[in-house]
Amino acid sequence: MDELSVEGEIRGDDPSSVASGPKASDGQLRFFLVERRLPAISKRGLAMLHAALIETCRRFAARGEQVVYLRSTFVPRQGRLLSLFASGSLDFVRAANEATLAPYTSIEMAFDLPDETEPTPA
Amino acid sequence: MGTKTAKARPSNLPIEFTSFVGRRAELRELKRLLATTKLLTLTGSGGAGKTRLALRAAAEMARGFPDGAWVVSLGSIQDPLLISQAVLNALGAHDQSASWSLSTLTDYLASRRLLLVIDNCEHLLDGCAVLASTLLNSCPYVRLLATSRQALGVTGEVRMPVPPMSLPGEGDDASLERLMNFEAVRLLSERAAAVVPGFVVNAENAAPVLRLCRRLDGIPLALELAAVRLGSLSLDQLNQGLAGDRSMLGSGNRGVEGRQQTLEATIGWSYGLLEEVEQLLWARLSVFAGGFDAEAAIEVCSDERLPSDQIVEMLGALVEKSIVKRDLTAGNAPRYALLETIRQFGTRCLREIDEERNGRERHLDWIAGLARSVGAFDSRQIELFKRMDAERDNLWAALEFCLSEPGLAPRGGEFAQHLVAYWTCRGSFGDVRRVLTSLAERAPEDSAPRAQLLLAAAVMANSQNDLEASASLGRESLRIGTHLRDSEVIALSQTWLAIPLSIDGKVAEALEAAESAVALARRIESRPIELIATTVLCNILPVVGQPERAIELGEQGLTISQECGELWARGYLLMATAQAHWQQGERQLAEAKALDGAGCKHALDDRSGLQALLEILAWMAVERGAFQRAATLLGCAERVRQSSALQFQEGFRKQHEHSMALALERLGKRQFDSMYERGLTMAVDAVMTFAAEDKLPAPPVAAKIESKTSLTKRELEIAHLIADDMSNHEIAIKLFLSDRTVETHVTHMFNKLGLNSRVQLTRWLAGISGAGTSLAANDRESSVTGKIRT
Repeated sequence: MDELSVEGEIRGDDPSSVASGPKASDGQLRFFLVERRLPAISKRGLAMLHAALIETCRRFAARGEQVVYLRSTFVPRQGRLLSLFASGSLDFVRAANEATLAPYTSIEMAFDLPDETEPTPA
Repeated sequence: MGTKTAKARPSNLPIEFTSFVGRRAELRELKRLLATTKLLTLTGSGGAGKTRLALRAAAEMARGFPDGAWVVSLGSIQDPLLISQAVLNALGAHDQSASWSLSTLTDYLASRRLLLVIDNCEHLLDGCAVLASTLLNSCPYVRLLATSRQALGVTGEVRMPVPPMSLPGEGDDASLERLMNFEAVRLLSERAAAVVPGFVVNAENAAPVLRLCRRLDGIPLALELAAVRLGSLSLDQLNQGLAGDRSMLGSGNRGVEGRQQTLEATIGWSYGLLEEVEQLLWARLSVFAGGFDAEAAIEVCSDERLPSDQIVEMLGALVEKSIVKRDLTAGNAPRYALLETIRQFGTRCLREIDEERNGRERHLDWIAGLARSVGAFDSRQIELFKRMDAERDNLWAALEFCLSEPGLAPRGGEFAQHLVAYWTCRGSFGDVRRVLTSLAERAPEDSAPRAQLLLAAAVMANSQNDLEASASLGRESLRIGTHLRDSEVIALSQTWLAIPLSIDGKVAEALEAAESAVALARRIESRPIELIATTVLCNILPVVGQPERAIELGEQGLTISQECGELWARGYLLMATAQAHWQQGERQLAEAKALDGAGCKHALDDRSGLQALLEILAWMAVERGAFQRAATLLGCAERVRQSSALQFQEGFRKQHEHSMALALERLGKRQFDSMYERGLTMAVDAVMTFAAEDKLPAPPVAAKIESKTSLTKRELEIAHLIADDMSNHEIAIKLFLSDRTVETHVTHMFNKLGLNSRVQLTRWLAGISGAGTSLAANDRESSVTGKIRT
């Protein structure tokens, strides 16, 4: 992950590193992974947080601040919640996550590995 | 003018210091709407009176909510992540959970029937929307009343615009009698009468009064700011002065944006009328978040331009001019605050005169000084913990400033160093840990401040039962301390590292770390570190089967604690020695120690420590077969945990489950549930009374001593504490009495026994105890010092 800076920008000149990510019409959407440490959260709490993330991103999108909440994965033993977003702006991702009132430990730009079996568009 | 509070139900609604004028129609409508909706948002421009209307409605409706009406003001909060904590604090609950604080809040409110006023939402709209929608979905009996310049935009929200106060329309030359029916005129008239005794609206002044009300668009805050000026200016002068501002069109019938302009112009006009020094004070006071007292204002705002001996007088002048609010209910010393709109204007002025950074640095210095006092571990501990509670918003503002300014992160280390014990009592662990960790990331690598920040974060992680992270943070702090050869950092790191290691079952490693910390603290002759390290070591020793050593070391620690006059470590030392004595079979002594420890924790409002000691008292009750008492105490411990959203301490789980099972088996489900429920529903004060009154009965020999004297049982108890060199105040804290009650008991004792001094009383007690009773010896041991000074 050396090529990614903390600001979520790609270092170097390899835009293909996010090639499999979602694209907006201007091609600027990127993935961001948000990590939270919630060692004592209950299932109900997780469901509430999930709902808050969905609702907040809808709210942001409705006013033109494009941030899409894709999914979350919880690692119970470590109490880690990893949430994946797509957005053109790190600031939108940060603001949306702060608005859910749930502190996070990091926001990092991320990318999916391309699926080699997927047919290449003509 | 009447003041009103909602006394019938639990509440934190403030007292109204000025009369509530008009708004009858709005109040009626608000109540009607709130009867049918769960979220009502009062919207309107700044100064429109949204807050005042919401608070008045809440006070009037409080009786309909069994769990009361509460208000949380978000005006001084800038970080949305602190919203849930602010609500929990306003509700009087400490969040000491490791969970998501909003989840903790919904758990807390899930079965409560209350009205929550969320004031000043406009700058945190997204966060407030999440808060509101989550509470709406999870807390069926909670009603929300929000105030905001904009609606929250949440499904199910009902919006009620708060209009300006009523005014006659343009061209409506209302008669004098009719004029007084308009709210704006009545408000101006009432406030003017407060500064000009006998002021009334009459035929002579009706026209300029109406002109003034129209010019101010009927905005309540603008009317108040103008009215107080009638003490020095005539109505015509006021109208002329305000007319100078082109943004004040004076139609009395403008839209929201126009009214906002009017308000800002009025505030600017009000500012312009002040003396230069008052303007400067207003600007400098804007760095405070959530209020301040005169002492703090002097420390943060005074210099050669604002001499310290004139600040109090200037504050009084700003109060008279309605710029500063004075709250006399907070305690003995008056507390001051700026209305949020007024504070924002002050911040702008501070920025314009290029003093913002300097002002915030002075604010930081002041709160850091207070943190140092809290960390001194002296006899002011209870008072200083309460003081820090009152300055919570200021503390967070200072921490946010440290985070936002490059180069200031190391200053955060001061807070970490001095507030660890305070934060273990108050939480909120998650937010504190997050901020400390962020500050540590910004602090220079391998620096002492970074180590202090990591260490405090380790303590918070431990309180969250996040043992792995706690140990990891502690080890990193230890590495830095070793690298720097900083003995204090090393000793403290070893101390705090020992706790997660011990809970995690790595007792040998924990013991080694704690032993090393105590030895190092002694070598560098740091009494506070020795006290903390001894406390931790003492609590590990009974676990590893060394009760004698725990007792010996515990007495040494209690001596240091007594010399300092602090209670935090003392409570935990008594917890350790209680367990050690219990292991030794000294049951009465053990229970007395645990009870003393619980008293210390209760006095500090350290609910984490209190619930631990109540658990231990419950286990003791189980082991001596007092199962009803045990079940009630287990309920009490759970009650305390719930009041602070505390997590169950992992180190206690095994013994807890054993005690629950045994008590349940012996009492049967019905009786156990009844006793447990009794504890669960007790107020925290009642919990302490129960624990103290229903402890292991004293052996008959106590009665024997008592019968030899004319003293009552309580007097004899106080006599023993006097012999243990405790002051009346300390005795009052220990026995949960007022200072005055203790004084009365002491006077009675002196009169009954014909004595004149405490020394004589101590000698007299030694004389009657010399009759040779094991209880007397035990009682002596159970005292904090174990010594009698003659």
